[in-house]
Amino acid sequence: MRRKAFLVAGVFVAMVGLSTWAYAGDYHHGASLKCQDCHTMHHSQQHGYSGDGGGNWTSLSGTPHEFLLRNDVNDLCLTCHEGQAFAPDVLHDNVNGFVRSAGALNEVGDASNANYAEDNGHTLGMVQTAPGGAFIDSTGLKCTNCHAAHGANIDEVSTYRNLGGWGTAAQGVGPNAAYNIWITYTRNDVEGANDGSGWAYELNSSGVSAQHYGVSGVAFNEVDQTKSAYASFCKACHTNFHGDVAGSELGGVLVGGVYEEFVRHPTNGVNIGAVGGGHSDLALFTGHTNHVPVMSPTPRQPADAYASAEVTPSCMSCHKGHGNKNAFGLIFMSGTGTVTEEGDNGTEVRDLCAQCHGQAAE
Amino acid sequence: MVQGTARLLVLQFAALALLPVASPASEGPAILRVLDIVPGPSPLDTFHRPQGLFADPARGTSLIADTGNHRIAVFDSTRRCRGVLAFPNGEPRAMATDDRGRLFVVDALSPEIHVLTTWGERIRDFQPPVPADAGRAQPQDLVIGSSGRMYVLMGGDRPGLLVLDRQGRELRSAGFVTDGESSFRGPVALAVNAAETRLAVVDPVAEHAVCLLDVTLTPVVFFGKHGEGEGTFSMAADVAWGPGETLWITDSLRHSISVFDGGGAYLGRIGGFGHGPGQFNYPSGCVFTAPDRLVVLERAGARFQVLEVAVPAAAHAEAALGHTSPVTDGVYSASEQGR
Repeated sequence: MRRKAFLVAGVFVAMVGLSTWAYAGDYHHGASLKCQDCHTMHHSQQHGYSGDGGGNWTSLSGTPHEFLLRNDVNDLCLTCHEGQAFAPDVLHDNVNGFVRSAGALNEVGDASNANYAEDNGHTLGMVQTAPGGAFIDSTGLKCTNCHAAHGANIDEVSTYRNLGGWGTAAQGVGPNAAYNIWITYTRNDVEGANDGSGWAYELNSSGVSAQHYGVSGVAFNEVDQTKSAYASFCKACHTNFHGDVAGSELGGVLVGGVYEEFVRHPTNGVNIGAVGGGHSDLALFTGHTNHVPVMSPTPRQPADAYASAEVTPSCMSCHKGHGNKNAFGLIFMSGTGTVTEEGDNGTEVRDLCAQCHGQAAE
Repeated sequence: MVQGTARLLVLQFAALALLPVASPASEGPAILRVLDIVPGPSPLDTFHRPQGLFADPARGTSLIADTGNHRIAVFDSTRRCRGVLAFPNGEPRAMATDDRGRLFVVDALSPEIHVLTTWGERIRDFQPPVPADAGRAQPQDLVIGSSGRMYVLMGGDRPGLLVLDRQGRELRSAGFVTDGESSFRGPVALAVNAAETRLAVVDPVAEHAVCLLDVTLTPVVFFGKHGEGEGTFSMAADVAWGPGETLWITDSLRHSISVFDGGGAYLGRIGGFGHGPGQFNYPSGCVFTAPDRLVVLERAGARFQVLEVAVPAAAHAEAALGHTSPVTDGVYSASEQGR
């Protein structure tokens, strides 16, 4: 009975506040957030924005922050994105329960959770040159090095997880055009079923606790079978780790219509099992109960089996974007057991390799 | 499990404590004096992202969920730390005690509520009885009333609210419906008034951040939109019932605590960003330990302050008259809904 009454109340609230219920995956873009939630014009606010000068005030002290932010950018982001039930929890363990697609960040000097060591993924505040590249943030790695806080900010292109946005060029334009590919995405509750048009697909972009950020709610498409938007994104910092097959970064020799003899593990342009023999094995991969995420040119739902023979690994197949409790944020997924952010029953690197490679499975 | 005690020596704040912060002449809420500032169990053992606090009136203790350090710190009425309860694999978030002295702990990393003895020994864990179709459910906050009833705020796929008897059996529930049908979206905090006639739920991403429910768990008042004017919030994080049925609601992003009457009318605020006495650095919660004693916990400030506060005069008048002000914002009554 109470549930029914509450349902009526809920419908009422939904009707009067519909606009704020449609997060549509871009919470930072549009009406959901207010500018003053994160910014202050003069680092001296003494009252609010109401007509009579009233309103809650948030006087500030100390040194002003770049971009007129109210606080250090990482601290500001973590205010909502660490330990909160209403937003994705990105630091250390997840209070929201689900298995995060990107895993967990750690932070320089934060020893409060030994499971998330600085070697286990991206480390907020770290001042180091990105492996394989030249990128370094001399003031420490920030959330905004990877994420555009305002979301869709270039040509209204909506990007997966608000990734990117630090450039000014539209897709495919500019000096690095070949790799300037936005990680476009579609959402089941906004654009409809997965049609393969976006590089990523979310089963449901709304809902509490941001569960659509979980591995069970995401599928990765392969819009262009010669590219990987994910790898192109990562390449912005980890420059030498990604590129086209037969290029200087990955190497690869065309033998019998397929590429082999890579100098770095390919992240695009190579289908699992394409070469056969002692290389990757599609049957081995599809035969597992649990799979690391790979790109599929055939649109699929997150829970669907990989039906295409043209699936391709990319960065997220082996690494959690944020990191996890394993070295390098690697996913030790043996293929059996409960799926976790670290993998499943797997315990070591060979479990990951054995997802596709028979030598590791022997 | 209780590990020793440590005397709080907060010498650097000694000169600041007891300094008057505001004049009591204002009719709105005000901080009259800062009585203490406590950065942790000891000067060398400080809090890390603390996110929950509870005042146990029966024992005169204050419990701080030192979330980032995976522990609960127990302080007596003189702010001496009486010990810490370790949760090595957990992130304690909320606490409550029952009339048998048992401590109930909400752990942000567990779907179960931990039950401990007064001495901190684990008795058992139990999962609140949510409906089978509620999906993933995660306790967010809990209150145990003087009646012995336990009120549990649940987040997760389908957030809701449970009222349980002493044996943990469901007496009432609300919510637990699909996202578009529920008044709850991402609730984080719950408070129940002393008479157990009003419940306040804080839900920072809902249309209104605060929902008041009656004893039948029917929503009766909504207020506190996400905005910029008085009575709005940027990020409501916690709620406490104060004297005169006032509601003291922590806003983390505005580093302040806004005060409302029991009908949702805005009465004023205290705080503001800073590191000094009476200023807050991302406050995560507040609780009254006496009618004029407010304890405020700061997540980024990593400390709690004990404040002597002036309660709005209007609240005292309402308490004397035994009624609340007309509702003001996003409000509807049961009769308007045809019930």
